Order: sequence, then structure tokens, then C-alpha cells
Amino acid sequence: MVLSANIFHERWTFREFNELPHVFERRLEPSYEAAEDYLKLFTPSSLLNSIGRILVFLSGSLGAVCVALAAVNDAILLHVKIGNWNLLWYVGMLGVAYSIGKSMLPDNTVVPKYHHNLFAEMDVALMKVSNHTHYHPDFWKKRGWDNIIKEAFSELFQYKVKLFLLEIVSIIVAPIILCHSLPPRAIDICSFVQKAKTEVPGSGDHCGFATFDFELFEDENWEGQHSNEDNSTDGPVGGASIMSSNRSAFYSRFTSSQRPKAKMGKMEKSFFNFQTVHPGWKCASSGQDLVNRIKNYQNEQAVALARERQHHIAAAARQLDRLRELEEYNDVTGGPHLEQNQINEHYVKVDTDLQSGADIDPATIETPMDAVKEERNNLRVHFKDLPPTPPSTTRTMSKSNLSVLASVLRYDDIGLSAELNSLLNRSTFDPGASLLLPGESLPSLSFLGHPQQNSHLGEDETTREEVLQRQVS
Amino acid sequence: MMLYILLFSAYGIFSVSTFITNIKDAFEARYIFKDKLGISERKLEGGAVEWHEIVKKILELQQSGEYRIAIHGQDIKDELVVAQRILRRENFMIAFFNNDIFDLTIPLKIPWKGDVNANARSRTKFYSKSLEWSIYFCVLSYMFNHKYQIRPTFCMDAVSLQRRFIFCGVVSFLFMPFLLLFTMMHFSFQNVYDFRSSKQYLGPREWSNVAK
Repeated sequence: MVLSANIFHERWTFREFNELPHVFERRLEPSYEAAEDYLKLFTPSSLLNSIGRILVFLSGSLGAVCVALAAVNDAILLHVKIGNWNLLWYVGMLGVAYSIGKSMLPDNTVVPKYHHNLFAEMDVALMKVSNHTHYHPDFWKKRGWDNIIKEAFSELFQYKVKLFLLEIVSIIVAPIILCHSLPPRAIDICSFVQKAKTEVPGSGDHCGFATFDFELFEDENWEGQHSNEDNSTDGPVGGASIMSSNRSAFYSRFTSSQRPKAKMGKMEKSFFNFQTVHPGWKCASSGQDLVNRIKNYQNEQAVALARERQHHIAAAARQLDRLRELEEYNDVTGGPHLEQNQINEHYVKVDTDLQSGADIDPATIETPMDAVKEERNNLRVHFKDLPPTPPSTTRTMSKSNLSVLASVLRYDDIGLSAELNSLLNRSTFDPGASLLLPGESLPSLSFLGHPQQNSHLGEDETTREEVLQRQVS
Repeated sequence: MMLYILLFSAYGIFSVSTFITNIKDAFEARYIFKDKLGISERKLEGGAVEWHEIVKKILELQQSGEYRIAIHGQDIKDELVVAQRILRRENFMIAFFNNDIFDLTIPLKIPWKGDVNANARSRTKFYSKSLEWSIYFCVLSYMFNHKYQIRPTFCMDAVSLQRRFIFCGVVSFLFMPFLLLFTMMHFSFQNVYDFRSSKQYLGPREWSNVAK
């Protein structure tokens, strides 16, 4: 491992309270790979790129010649001299040049040639790293693509050789630091120790953060000293950016705040980490409070999500009912034109506004032709609650439009009605079943649409989820 | 020259003595693991036993009264206390760094750039093993008395802490050449093989240094 985060200072930053060394190593081990993946996403500049290509080309071709000569007779490499050195020396140098040039070229496996959202990918990669290191300062958030962040990150995660040089430099400057920078801080250190220590009966004094005693510790040492204390403790309940069951987001929320809160975040992170490492451990009441609060919050979110989902399912079920009614009606009257229009008018709601996408609110109902067109172009097609409109209103459509529509959609409609009957017999569309998972219920919904719509519904579901999360949080 | 021979031999003696104490501790640990906890060496090395299981066993023994570990007349209560005891000093160190207590920057002014430390985010912190050792010596080793309580005088007496810092600074200045030599040798012994075998991963900067 050439790159490594073994700079000692950062070890202390990443490490958490009461984290035993082997746990720390285990936590940090996968972070190396993730960090390298993140750094790989930053391509070298195009200038370096072209230099690298030239280097690879020149050294590769010349090296191939040398190798060919060596295959004929190895004495050639030893005895033919160009300038002061023999060919063997040149082979070595060419190898060096080749590897340097190679390192300047972007990695095609990581950065493919086709266009994609590199910024988002960088963000995700950075989040992955933070999942392991549990270190994600506020100015890193959503800015993983930023070169400044990349610099700050590579400051933590450096080449071993650079680390070694830093080590040497810091040995040289150590006397300066010890004699100049640190003595003025002596008073701070003393008062900090005074404030942070807590006595655990029977085992002497400990650092207060390591006791995981949230109530006591906040009361005695943090309140008054840091004003925004309440925000951080109430964070898990009312926090804006926390997603349920996403612990990393929860972490980043805590560390994202101001300095005093970041310190608190450390304690909470350590608390949860310690809990996962020691499953049998029974924490004190204050810690249990925190756990309960977070669990409640996660439950609330899950319920809210399920409720939203239930709305959609109920709406879909109502539409199915309505459709069946219409079909029965059509069986009586026998007008295919009429049926087409009704379905298109009531069934599809095109919602152009992304923000109100998840709400089931009465929005504009397009005319059938527009609806069909929009339906193919727009990703956000929604099922809509059927207003109790009598089917006779659709007779106002012009005759020509109707016939065109019918010819296009007749086939789909036959499939639709067949699907419909089978679907309606299933129990998944019972509106009472509240906690349906998306994987179980919603794919079957997509049978409803005609083929063009099928793919749209799949994507629509993801966007709806996003909107949901935004709204819930 | 004589000084360096002395220093090296002192280091040699030091490492031999730590080796002996380590061996002693290891034998003691083996005795406890085997006889008291019933965990064989092979099982432990194979990773079949997790740390929390060990702690659980110790606690069970503690409660049943079969084998009691008591430090200063007090029993170990739960897992948290075990971890706290082991990591007492480390926890303080983490807290120091978390609160950014140490000032590890140097007062350097580059004429064309202004004060280096003006921007809080970009300033370089210098930290090395020797510096860590010095801080450990100055702060943490003086903090606790034999009962593992923080000495009251430590919190009151900032002046002597200052004095210790300056003393350490002078000592590290005196030992600087030795330390430099030592780190370089240590680094090269540890890494030369790695660099040779994995040269394709090295960036251009690294090569110019290692090639020499």
C-alpha cells in the first residue's frame, strides 16, 4: 500500500473514544480502498495527460527495441554504449519513464470515456470514505468534487514518501513547536483537563467523553460553555438532513455543525461504535435515551414513508376500480372510442411540477391527445384520483381525434384490460395493507400502463422516492 | 561519535528490556486465557474469538467469584469500564485533538504569501512520532497519580507544564541529528523492498527520491 493514512496526527482525529486498537484498525482497513477510489476520480489535467501519452509511447517503443536486441544477444545491451552509459542503463531509465507516463494517464476503468455525472460520483465516493473514517467536516458536505476538498483530503491521505518527508521536517521543527507554540497553550490544557475529567468510582479519573454519560456530561461541562448544545442533542429528532436508517448521514449531520457540536458528535459516534462492537453491553440511562430517540425517529420516518406509499396504492386501486366500471359500462354501450377517451382523460395526470409530485392534488387535466403525448415525453406521469365525472363529458371530442386515438391505443387497451382483471383479483391492492414494500407492490402497478409507460413508471418511482424523502425531512 | 555509539547502545538496551517485559506479559496473558478463560492459543490466533466475548467471559468469572480481577480494591463492572481502563490516556489524547487543544503550527511567515497560519483550514500541522512522545511525556505521564486519579496539582500548575514543554524542546533539539538518522534508517529498512516491488504505483515524485 503506497498510499496510506498513517499520518499520526490523523490517527488521533479518526479514532474514537473507547475504541480499542484492533477495532480501529478494522474500521479503517476498508477506508484505504475507498479513499483511493475517491482520489482516482480526479483526472490529471490534459497537459499532463498528453505528456504521459508521449512518455509512454516513446519509452514503450524504444524499450521494445532494446528487449528485441536483448533477445538476440544479451552482450549487445552490455557493450553497446550511447554516450557514457550502456544500453542496459537506458533500459532501466526507459522503464522508469514508462511507469511515470503511465501514472499520468487517467485510469480508464475508473473514468470511462463516455460522459457521466462525475461530480455526483465524487460526492458518493467521499461519503463512502467517511463511512469508514467517521470524519466528515461541514465544508466537505456536497462538495466532494471541489479541488479544495480534494487537497484537504489528500492532506490526510498521503503518499508514504511524502509522509516520511513530513516526518523528517517535523522532527526538525519539533523544538520550535515545543518551545514556542505549545507553552502558551499550557493553561488551556490544564483547564481543559480540569473540565473534562470525571471520576468513575473504582477506576479513577477518566476523560469525561469516554464515560458516555450524556446527561451528566452535558450539564456539568458543556452547558454555558457552548451555547448551541441543545441543537446537537435534539438533532436526531428534528434534524433536517437525517435519513432513516442511514447512519452515515446521521454522523455527518453531527460532525457538520460548529466546533463545540462536532465535539459532541464525536462522543455520540463513539457511543454507537462502542455499542456495535460490544453487543452485550447495557448502556446507562442517558445513552439509552439517545438510542430510543433515534429509534423513534427512524420508526416515524418509516411510518411516514409507508403512509405516503399507501396513498399511492390506494389511488391506484381506486383507478383500477374505476377502470373496471368503465369497462363494464363499455360492454353495455360497446363504444371503443368512448372508452379510450375516458381512460386517457381520467387515468393520466401529468404533473410538471417536481415539488408537488408526491402530493395527490387536483392539478391540470390535459386533453387526451396532449396527455398521450406528454405521457411519452415526460417522466413524471402520475396516477390520479378519479373525480366523479360522468362518462358523457368526453363526447365533446372531435370525431377525427377519437378515431386516431383509438387506432393507436386499441391493442394496448386489450392487454390492459386483461392485466387489470388479473391484478384486481390480487390482494396486494387492498388499501388496508399499509406497510407494503416497494419491491413487492409497485412493480405490479407498472403492468397497468402501455409499453411506453412501463419504463417511465420505474423511473418515476425513484423520483417520487426522492421527493418523498425531501418532503419528510 | 562516542555519543552516537552510546545512544545506539542505549536504544538497544531499551528495546531488549521492553522485549523481555513483553514476553513476561505475554506468558501471563497466556496463562489467563488458557486456564481461566478456556481459550486456546490457536483459537485466539485464528480469530475465532471476538474481543467482546473475552470481556464477557471475564465479567462472568468476576461475578461468579471464580477469578476476580481487582485493581485498587475495586471490581470491574461492565465492558465500558474495561475499555476505559485500557484506553485511559488515549481517550484524553483523542479529546485533545478533537478540541484542537494543541497548537502544532509553526510561526512561519513567507514574504510573498503572508502569514501561513492565517487560513485555519490550510495550515500545516507538524506532527511526528517524537513530538507525540514528547507531548505524551509532558502532559499525560504527569496527569495521573498511582491511583489513576488526576493530580490536583496538574490542573493548577500550568507553569511547570510550560517548563516541561521547553525542557522537551531543548532535549529534542539536542537529539535531533540522532532522531533524523534513526527515522531515515528505520524508514528505508522498512520500505525499500515495498518500493522496489511496487514501482508501477509510484508517482513521479517518489521515484526521484527512491532512485537515489
